[in-house]
Amino acid sequence: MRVLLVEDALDLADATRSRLRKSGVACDHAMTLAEARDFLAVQGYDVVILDISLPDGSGTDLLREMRQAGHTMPVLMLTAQFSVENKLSAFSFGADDYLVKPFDQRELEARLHVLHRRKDSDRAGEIRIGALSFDPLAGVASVDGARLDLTRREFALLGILMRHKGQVHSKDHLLEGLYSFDDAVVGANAIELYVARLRKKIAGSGVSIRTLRGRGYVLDADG
Amino acid sequence: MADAAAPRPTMSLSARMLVGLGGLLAIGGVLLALAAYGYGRAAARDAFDRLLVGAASSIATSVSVVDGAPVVDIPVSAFDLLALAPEDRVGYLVTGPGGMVLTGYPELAEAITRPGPEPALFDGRFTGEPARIIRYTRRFAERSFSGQVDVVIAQTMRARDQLAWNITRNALMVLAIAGVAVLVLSVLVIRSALGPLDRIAARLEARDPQDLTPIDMALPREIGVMVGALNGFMGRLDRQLGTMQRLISDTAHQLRTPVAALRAQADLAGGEDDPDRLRQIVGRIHRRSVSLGRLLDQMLSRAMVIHRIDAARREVVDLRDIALELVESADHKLVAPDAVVRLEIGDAPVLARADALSLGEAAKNLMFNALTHGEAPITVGASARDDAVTLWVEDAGAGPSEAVRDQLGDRFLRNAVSRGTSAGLGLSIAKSVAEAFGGSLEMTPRPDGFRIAMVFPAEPPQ
Amino acid sequence: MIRPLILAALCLAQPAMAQEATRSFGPEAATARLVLRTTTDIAILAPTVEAFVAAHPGQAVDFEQWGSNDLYDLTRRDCLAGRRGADIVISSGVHQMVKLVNDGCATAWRSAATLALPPELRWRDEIWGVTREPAVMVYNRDLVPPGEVPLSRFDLLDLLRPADTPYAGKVATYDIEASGLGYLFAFMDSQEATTFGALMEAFARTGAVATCCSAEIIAGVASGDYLIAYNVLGSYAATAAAANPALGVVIANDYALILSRAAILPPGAAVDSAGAFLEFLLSDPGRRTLERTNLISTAASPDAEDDVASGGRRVLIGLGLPLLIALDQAKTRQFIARWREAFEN
Repeated sequence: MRVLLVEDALDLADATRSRLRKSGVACDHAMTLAEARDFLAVQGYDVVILDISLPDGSGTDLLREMRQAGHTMPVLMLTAQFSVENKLSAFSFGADDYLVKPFDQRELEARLHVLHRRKDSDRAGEIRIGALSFDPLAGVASVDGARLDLTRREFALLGILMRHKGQVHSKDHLLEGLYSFDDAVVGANAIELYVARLRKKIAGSGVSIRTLRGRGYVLDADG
Repeated sequence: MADAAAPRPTMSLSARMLVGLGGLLAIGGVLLALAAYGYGRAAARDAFDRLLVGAASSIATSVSVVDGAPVVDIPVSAFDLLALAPEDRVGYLVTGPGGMVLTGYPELAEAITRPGPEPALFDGRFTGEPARIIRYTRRFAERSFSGQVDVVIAQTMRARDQLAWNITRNALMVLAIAGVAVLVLSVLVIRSALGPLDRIAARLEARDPQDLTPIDMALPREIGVMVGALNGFMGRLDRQLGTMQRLISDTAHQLRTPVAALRAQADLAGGEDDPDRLRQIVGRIHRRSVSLGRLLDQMLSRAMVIHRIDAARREVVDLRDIALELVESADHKLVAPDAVVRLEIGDAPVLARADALSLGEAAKNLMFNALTHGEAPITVGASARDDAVTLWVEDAGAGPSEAVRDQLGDRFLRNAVSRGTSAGLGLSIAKSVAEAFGGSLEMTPRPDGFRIAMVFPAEPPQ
Repeated sequence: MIRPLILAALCLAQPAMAQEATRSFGPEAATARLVLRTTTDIAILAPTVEAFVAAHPGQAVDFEQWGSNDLYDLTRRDCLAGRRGADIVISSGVHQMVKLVNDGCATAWRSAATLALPPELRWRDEIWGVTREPAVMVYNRDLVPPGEVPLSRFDLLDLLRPADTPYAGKVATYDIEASGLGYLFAFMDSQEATTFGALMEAFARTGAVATCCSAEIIAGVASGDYLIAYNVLGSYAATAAAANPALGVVIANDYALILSRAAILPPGAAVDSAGAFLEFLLSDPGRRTLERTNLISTAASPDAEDDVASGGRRVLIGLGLPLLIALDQAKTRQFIARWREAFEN
């Protein structure tokens, strides 16, 4: 895996590079947007790690340039900004993932591998209903190509509902589908809340989740 | 204030008032003018109709019966009466039984047969000019003559028109004077009404920039509302300024200690040759920095929460959502990768009126406290009881120390900070949030652990 | 509908009318000609018209002299027929002029001069009083002893009272049936004072003479046929007295009727020319010519205190609605019937 790290804090960058190199990840380091452009011009990367505030501009500008130039490589944004609104907006810039500083190096590594796998996935398992697409291998759900910010449980639930489109799933059945998450017990009552969140997030995709009172939930394309 | 953005000037209040009032007066003026003209015409008609009646009756009275026939001797007084309309021409006709003309203008004969009550007054024409016509009938029942004598008088309308116009004009002049007076008065009233604004502006200009105390002036109620809003705004500004200042001072306190520790450990590491000792020192540095990052998060979280408590809109929040969000957030895995966090919620919404983000931050702090200082398993939940709702975090441990509980709400948690932990800060955030939304922070030892809950007044379901 | 009938009736009823005299003033080839119809003798008004023509080159005036009743009838018929007749009509039969105005047979004219007239001497801006002439008594200085000259109507009554009065049959006045002006004076007298009744009774008793026309009456006094003439128009009297020292003139000091000849502009009149003439009559030069021919009597002015015989009230015959009564058919019938009773015995 080859990674471009765009980060102006030299010590942080050095530490990250060393760490990644130990894990067998090749990492180029750019201090500024200009340097990053030079790197991108001559070398292809599997993942780009992009800091938002850089000496010669904002990382989001580079991201926008890259997307406009047709670069589809995954981008993980680093942000020192705190508020949730800003975290969410990272996706709207076209980022594939983000981390808030300070972050744990192990977390960074794990995310990089997820992004890399996602890039390599052949999308064979992808399910599409309306404008909503679900890629279980890459762990990405998107509406019209815009990635949805789903938690893992939401993602798993959406997977169950989409794989069995048109079928009615009881709360308990859906809960069973979440058994793999053994780190927490959320209970059947949480299903209702998850469904409500999913509904909000997939609104406008042409797909809706209906509640059948006393029986459960069913996902269907509209119309 | 020279560099302050000039407010976009819209139409001045005086101008608005004048335009509105002017429009009103214009419309009212037109209506009143029409009314005055109508009144003037009616008044002129009444006045001159009375002359006509008087003249006709005096002519009718002058009719006497001589040798079995009616004889008219038109009195000069009748015409003197009619001459009170000095510019008007007059036609008259006196007829006996069968319309026999006794004297006057035969062309007025038409009026004799016109139906109507007695005396009949109606509009007509006299030799090409509009005229008011009266028919006045006198009936005789005498031995020698029995029958009726009709007196018709037609009078042109110049005097009537003139009187109507005079009345209208006088009314209009009074109206115009009143209108101008109203406008002038309204300008004065607006001036005096806006006077307090000038005084407020002067008072604000004269202020020290740091002075955010409420404006205390005797003011009209309407402006009082605005000044109340201004005072509220300044109050919020003042609190935020205070928050900022406290944040800066807290930050100084709370950051210097761990940074000093880091620096000391780094110094130590620089001079250490023993690899084991070195690894130990690096481990300490790592723990310190992780905890410093956590501390930073909390301080920012607290600043944000305090900011939002003042600024964010209150909305109806399902506390179950907050609890779920909390369990969902993957962050806790960094702190305690192996901890199990359970969610315990019912199937009915648990509604409170609050700010979801602030609640989330507060709950997150409680959960991290539990993860860091408590014992697994950790349970996060939302539940309703009586007329209150709670968002709580429970762990299997014994709860915070008495010291921490006593210091709850004291933002100055030197002790916790110097230990490199921040349970107290998290609690203080939760307490601030709970209180900001009309609730409180409850700590309850339970048989199998310890529960910390934010308790809010229940919001009725919509 | 009704007008043609009236017109036909008038045409049938009226005897053929003729103007008494005509004369043209001004250049023969004048660009503007003004037809003036008036009851005033040409000789008396001529200086005024001449002065007007002199002041307005290119303006000619065709002067027609008419009897007052004829003039009224003619103007009225012109008006009803919508025919253009005179451009300006000036008549001593002011009640007739008022009736013409009342019947819509006059055109308005407004100027500073007309507005300056006293309100009694203008009405509706369609009729204006242009002269001031008192009604006077004329006597024969040679035949009436100075002590017997009547200074008031009471004096005249006293003269006629004795059964053997030498004035029996020697007092003359207008025939009110023949003279519009005579009728007007008599009518005004009847309105003004109770002496009128006594006067009528005295005239009847002493065989007073009613005859036509100012000139005839004055000539009768001058010749001694009559000793006293009652209610003669002052302008003629003054002019005659100036020429004949045998004639004495008295303005009654109980009250004196003042006539102001009325001018109207009939419909269809050449308003500019007629208006100019009217303006001239009301202007200072015009008034001076009228004063010279006694048409404006200084004695008739309300403040003529210095006049020998003055001292009594001046009763200006106002131009306005009340004068209509003078022409009321019923009133006229009754009045004339009464008159006839007095004189036809």
